[in-house]
Order: sequence, then C-alpha cells, then structure tokens
Amino acid sequence: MILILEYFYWQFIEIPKRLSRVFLNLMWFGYKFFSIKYCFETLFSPWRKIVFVYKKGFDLGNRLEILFNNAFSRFLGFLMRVFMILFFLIFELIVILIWIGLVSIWIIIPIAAVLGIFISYSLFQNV
Amino acid sequence: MFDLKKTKINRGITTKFFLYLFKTLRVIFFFAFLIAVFYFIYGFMADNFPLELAEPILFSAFFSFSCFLLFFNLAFFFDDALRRSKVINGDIENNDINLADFLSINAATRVKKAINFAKKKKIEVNSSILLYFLLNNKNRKIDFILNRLLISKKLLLSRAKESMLYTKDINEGTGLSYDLTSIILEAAKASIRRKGFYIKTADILSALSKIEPNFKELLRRSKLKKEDIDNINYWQEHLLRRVSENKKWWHKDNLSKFGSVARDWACGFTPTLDKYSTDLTELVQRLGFVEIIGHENERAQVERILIRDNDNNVLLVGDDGVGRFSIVRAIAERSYLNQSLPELNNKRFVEIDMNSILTSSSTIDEVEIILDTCLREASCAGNVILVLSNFDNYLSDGNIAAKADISSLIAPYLKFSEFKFIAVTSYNGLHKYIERKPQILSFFEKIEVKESSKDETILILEREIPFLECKYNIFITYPAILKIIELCDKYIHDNPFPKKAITLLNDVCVYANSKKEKIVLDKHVEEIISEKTEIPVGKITADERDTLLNLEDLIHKRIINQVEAVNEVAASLRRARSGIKTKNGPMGSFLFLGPTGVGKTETAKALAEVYFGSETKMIRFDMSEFQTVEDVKRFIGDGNNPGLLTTDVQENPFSLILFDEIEKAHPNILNLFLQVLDEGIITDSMGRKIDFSNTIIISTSNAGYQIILNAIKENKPMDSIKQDILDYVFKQGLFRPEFINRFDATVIFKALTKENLLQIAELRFKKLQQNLLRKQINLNVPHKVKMQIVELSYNPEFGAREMRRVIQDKVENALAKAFLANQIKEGDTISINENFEITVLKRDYEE
Repeated sequence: MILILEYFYWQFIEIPKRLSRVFLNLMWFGYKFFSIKYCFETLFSPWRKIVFVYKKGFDLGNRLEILFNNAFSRFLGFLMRVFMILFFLIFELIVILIWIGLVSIWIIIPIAAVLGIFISYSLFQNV
Repeated sequence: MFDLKKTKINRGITTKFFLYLFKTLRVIFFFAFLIAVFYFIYGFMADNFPLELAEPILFSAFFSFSCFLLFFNLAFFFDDALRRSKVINGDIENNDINLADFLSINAATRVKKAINFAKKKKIEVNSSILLYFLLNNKNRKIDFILNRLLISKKLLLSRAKESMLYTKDINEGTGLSYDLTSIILEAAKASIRRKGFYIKTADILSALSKIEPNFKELLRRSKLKKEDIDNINYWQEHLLRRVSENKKWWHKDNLSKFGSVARDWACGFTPTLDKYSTDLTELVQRLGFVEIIGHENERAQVERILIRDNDNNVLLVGDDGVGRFSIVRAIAERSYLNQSLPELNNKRFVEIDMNSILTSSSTIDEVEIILDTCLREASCAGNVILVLSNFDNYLSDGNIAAKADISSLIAPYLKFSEFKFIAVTSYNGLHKYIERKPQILSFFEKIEVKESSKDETILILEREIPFLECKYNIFITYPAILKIIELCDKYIHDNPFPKKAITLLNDVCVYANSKKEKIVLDKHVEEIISEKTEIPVGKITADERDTLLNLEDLIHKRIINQVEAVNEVAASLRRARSGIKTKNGPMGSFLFLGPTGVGKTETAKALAEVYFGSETKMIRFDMSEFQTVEDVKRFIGDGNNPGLLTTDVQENPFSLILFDEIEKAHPNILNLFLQVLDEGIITDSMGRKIDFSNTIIISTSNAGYQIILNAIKENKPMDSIKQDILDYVFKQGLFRPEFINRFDATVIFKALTKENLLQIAELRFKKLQQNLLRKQINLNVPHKVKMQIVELSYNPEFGAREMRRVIQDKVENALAKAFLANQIKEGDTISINENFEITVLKRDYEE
C-alpha cells in the first residue's frame, strides 16, 4: 500500500517538481544570457559608449550634428536592446511550452500505458 | 544504531528482483513494438500480407508500446525512488540515528551479504567478513583505490577469507572491540571527511583500513598510511562528482558557462588594447574551466581590493611558479560565471602584452602613444581589468638603458577609480625596482602569494593526472605522487610548490613513457631526482651499502692514523643515509683542528672520492681569500653577481664543501655559517634558498697547533688536549663557542709520528710506482730508502708536507734526470739506493 502511495507521489509530484526545476533554470539562463537586467538598466544608453563631445565655442551646425550623432548612438543602443528583450521573450515562451508539454506527457504516461494495454487487448479480442 | 531492516534502502535490495524484471520486460516489449511496426510496414505498405492481418499486427504494436511505457515507468520508479539513501546529516554518533539509512545501495547490499553470512555461521559480523564481501565482487571504486596504492586485491581477499571466522577487532586506542555499528560509524566519518552525502563502499574500505588486521598489515608493509586511503577516496569521489555535475547541463553552474551576450553593449570598444593584449576571460572560456586549488584567501583579497572606489590596484608578489596567475585566472573564471562579487561579475580580464608593444614600435615615443591609447581605452571601456605580468620589467631607475620605464605613463591612470589594474611581480623585482619608486608603489595594495602547501600540491597533481595518463597512456600510482612531494620538498629548492611538483610529474611521465613502462612507480621518481640532482636518493643500493659499512677502511686507504676523525665522519654519514638523522642542516659538519700536513685536507679529499665518487665533487674554498667585509658579497653574491659558494652548492647540491683555514675568514662569514650549519639553508642575494642538506661541510684550521706540538714534546696523551685547544681558540677570539657548537664534531688531528710517516712514505711511493708503471717502468724502493726519506722529512710542525718536498727533491728529480738522459727507458726495472742514485736492474731488450 505504502509502495503505491509512494509511486503516486513520485510520479505526479516529485518528478514534475524536478522537471520544473530544470525549466526554471533554463528560464533563469535566458534572463542571464540575454542580459535582461542590463538591457533595461541601460535601455537608452549610447551604443558601446560612443558619444561625441561638443567643441568649444558656439557653432550651431556642429552642435546639431553632435546632438544628432549622440541621439543616433542612443537610438541604436535602444534598438539592439529591444531586440534582445524580444529574443528573450521568444526564448522564454518556447521554454514554457516545452515545459508544459514534457510535464503533461510525463503525467499521462502511466495512464496512457494502462489504457493502451486495455484498449489494445479488447480490440485484439474483437478481431 | 545500525539496523538495515528498518531502512528504505533495504526495500531497494529486496525489490531488486522486480527492478531487473521490469528492465527486462521493458527491453522485450520495446523490441516487440519495433518488430510489429516493421512487420506492419513490410506487410501492408508493400502489399505482402492480406488486409485481415493488418488489425492484429497494429493492435499488437499498440499493445507492445503500451507495455513498454508501463515497464519503462515502473523500472524508472524502482531505480530512482527505491534505491535512494538518506543524506548524512545530524549527529552521526547519536544512538537514535540509524546509520544504515546513509548507506548507498551498493554498500547496503555488501553489508547485507556480510550480515547474512555471519548469521549462517552463527558469529558476529567482523571486519574481515565485511572486507571479504566488499572485495568479492566487481567494484570499480574499490579497484581504483587498491590499484593506485599497488595493493593486490586477490591477496587481500584471500587473507580476509582465511581469517574471517576468527578475526577479533580490537581498538588499539581504547581496548574496546569494534562491532558492525562502530565500523559503519568509522565509514560515516570517512564520508564526512571527503564531504560526501552517503556512506559508499569506498568509505567502508577506508574504515576497514583502520580496523581489519590483514589490511592494516598490508598497508604497513607497503609503507602507506590510513590517511592515504582517505585521500584517494576523496580524489576519486571528487573526480566522479565533477564529471557527473558537468553532465547535468541544466544546472545553473553549467548554464552560466554560456556567458551573456548583451552585457558589454554599454561598455566601450577597445580596438588598440585588443591588438596588444590577451583576453584572459575569452581564454578561460575557450580553454575550459579548470578547478583552482588553494590561495583562496589571496583570491578573496584581490576581489575585495578590485571593487574598492580608491586604491583599487593590486600588486601580486610571489616567486615564479607559486600560482600568481592561477589567482588571476580564478577571478576571471568566477567573474565570467557570475560567481564573484556582484561588482566584479562579467568584467573582462585583459593581459597587456608589453613585448608586442615594444617590438612593434620603432621609437620610445611610439611605444608611449600605443600604451597610452591602450590604458585610455581600458579606463574608458568600463568593464576592463588590466593585468600586467613582470611589472618590474617595465620600471627602471634610469640606470639601465635598455629597460623601458612606463611609470610616468601609468601613474595618472592608477589614480582613477575606473582604472583597475593587477600587476604581477616577483620579490626580487619588488625590492629591486618597484620599491625604488614609492609613488608608484603607493597606488597598489600589495598581496603576497605564498607557496602552496603539500596537501594542496597533492590535489593539484591529482587534477593533472587524468590528462597525463591519457596523453602518455600510463598509470600513475599514489606512492609515486607521495614520492614527488617528498623529494621535491627535500631536494628541489630553485622553484616553489606547486610548480616544481608539476614539472617533476611531467618529467617522470615522459621518463616512464620513454622506458616503455606503463606504470609510474616511486622508483621512477627517485631515478629522475637522482639524475637531476646527482643525489643518490632512494633505497640504499648494494654498492652504497658496502661503501657506508666500510667507509673507515676505504678512507684509511689514503689516510694514515687519524682514526678518531675518520670514525666520526663515517658514523655521521651512516646516520644521514640510513634516514635516522634527527637534526636539520648538512649531512655532516666537522671542524678539523691540527697542525699542517697531518691529513685534514686529505681526509676531505678521500671522503669526496670514496663517497661522492670523485675528488671533483669537493668544493674547496681557501678562506684566507675572504678576510674583508666586501668578501661576504663574493661569497653569497650581491644584486648583480652570483655568489661563489651559493652558485657552486646550487649546481652541485651533493658534494663536500671544504673551508680551508677557516680561522682566517672574516667574522661576518663565520656568522653566515651559523645558519648553514643549523638549518642547512642560506638565502642568497637573489632571494634563492640554497640547500646544504645534502652536503658534508668540513672546515679545517691549524689554530692551537702549538698545543699539539708541545703535547708531543711532553709526551702528553692526545685525547686530553682537545679542551686545551678549544680554550685557546676561545681565548684568542678565533672562534666563538656558538660557532664551534654548531659542528657535528670538532676533531683533533694528531701530529704524525715517524711510524705514520713511514706508512705515508709507502703510500707516496706506491703512487709513484703506479705512475711509472704507465711508462712500463718498474721501480723498486728498498725499506732503507723509505726510512731515509722519513728521517729527512720528519718535522712535527710540517707533518707530511715536508715529505712531499723531500720525495720531490731526492727521488722525482733524480728519476726525471735519468729519464731525460736516456738512462732509464720503457720496460726497465730500476731501483733507488740510500744516496738516491738510480740503477737499472733489468732491461727487457738490448740496443
């Protein structure tokens, strides 16, 4: 009796728990690999620290050019980071889907096996 | 408490049958499924079978697959859930804790077999029964330990079998007997020592090595300690754990190895620096993650300094080979794996390549421009930590024209908190160059890297061994590893641990491989050390044994009289070579006192020839050449020049050192000897430790010789004058008592009597006869002639030295003249008379 209870605990709680731990690790990996925290922290920072410094004295043309260049550097940085966040989201989605799929398959295995034996046996008898 | 029946793991043992059954059925149904699918495809896709057969085949495929799934699931459950032990925790000595809970399935199975056997024989389980059942099946872990230790499993098994019915396990310490619970408790302790989670078979073996009489005896005979089993057990489990953890790709540590992609997008580009540097972080990633052993305190210190806002530059000081770069590598690894301090994670560790900057530039200005750009880029990038090895090489005080000086260039950057810099240098470089630039030194926090301990070095060697075994296709035994540590510590002083041990391990592997031997033994290590240092280490060979036992006779072939001196020297050598020497310092150190020409130097020469193989193995210093303070520098070297003594001893560590006329040396030199005689080690001006432990030091002096001569005149016994001579040298201030006391023995050489001189004359003539024999001339020297020589040369003040002059004047001159005048020719037999005239007795041929 204890063995059967232990089996149910192992099949429906322990192994899904272990599988979940693996997928949580994979989600953590995605967060680290795509540097999500840093992407948000530096979302509008210039790309690769590329910044131009204003020359001494007032020169409107030069000011506008440098303003544009710096803004472009920030925009490029923003764009790259947004893409990275997007990739992260896609990766996480795939991980979650596989996670749900695998856990579901695992839970179904014993039920499917027992049902399969019964069904195939009864079908076999009807032949 | 130990009760196997009450454990979960016991259920794993009893349900083993079901596990194998389910595993077998799983395989059968899987193949049945494959056959059914193949049959279905073959029959109906290619129209080989009638359609009525389709349904049963399809249903049987479905049935087989369902059964396969069911038995796969059950086998997995029986294997995973029922064969798991409890992790060791809590107070294992507490009686309420059932130690059997912590046994691994393998260990529990072996113990259960032992219990059943004992029950059948109606005896208590003893250590021999347990050892027998531990060894009588195939167990790779046990084999690993026994093979590394070169212990025969077969022999141990047969001995355990012979004594298993009678063994009584008595604890030698407490006198109490061991029962099964106490044996398993010992095994649990062994598991805790190796930071294990369960009690495994190897842990029980480790416990039995302390208890089982046959095992203890075998270990004793192999000169192994019980701790050695623990060490190998730790090595094996650690290795297996690392392999198994590396396989678990989903663990955070393993996933971290992929790094992160966008972390440095907010950091600047470093194109010039990239060109003139090596990215250590990238190197770590490319070459793989190596476990760093030791220097944890130093590593933590460096990490703490690097994250500071000010004074965040590190100066790593240590000898070459001590592991300074391992520390940098460890930090780079931890930073990459996000395991370091948060402020240090995901930084780039970049080693600037000064040589490439210097060689690619034609002028100093160009060097400065490139270096400045590199430093500016590193400072602005925001994620770079610069590393520079041999920092002292790039600092100069202006005296050395060829040396680059980057101090003025780097100093402004060292002030910035964004600029983090690790400089690596040696003690020599620190004292010679860096300390002369206090303003540069003030920017750094100095961290001294000490030599690895012997235990750490063993772990480092164990880390290297799998690669070497694979590379050379050899097997390295544990006694060989222990021998490497022991001999490196004793005989190699030009490098620190772990470098010297790693180098020796590599050398030994190459040596064994070249001799086409598959197993590296401790004798191979001894052979390599003997080859490298010319020191006959290891077991005393038959030749050496004879030499040591007959040392007195061998020396007396050259030395007449002086029995006391020869005995003292021989006894000292025997003590050193048989391994029962208790003090540090040289193998032997002697002060020979006595008049000139009595055989002091000759004894030293004879010893060098007899024991060290040749007179050339004697390093001789005439101490009258070292009478001023400046001569101390010549002796042990100064900043730029190596010392005469230290260089000679480093090159020939197994030799006899003779300090002639020691009383004439400057007192500062005598002070240096205090350390040499006491510790056997001296540090030269280059900071190298010179080892004297394999030398014999002999100092000679004729101080107080008058006392010996007076004693001869007054017919005083020689033994009573030793104290008179010592009183004399102390009174005269020639030697201080602490200097004399540091010698193993102060030996008084007696003045020679006429009988002694006659014996010496015989030795001299024998040598002369041998020389003439090479020209095929036989020389007869009548006894009267020898007596005449003794009479002419007897002078107690000059000893046998006068005799050499007399023989030269009277005999050798006469022979030379006769030879040149063609009076004697090759093949002649000649004689010499009392007037030292040469006569030809026989001539082989007539002209």
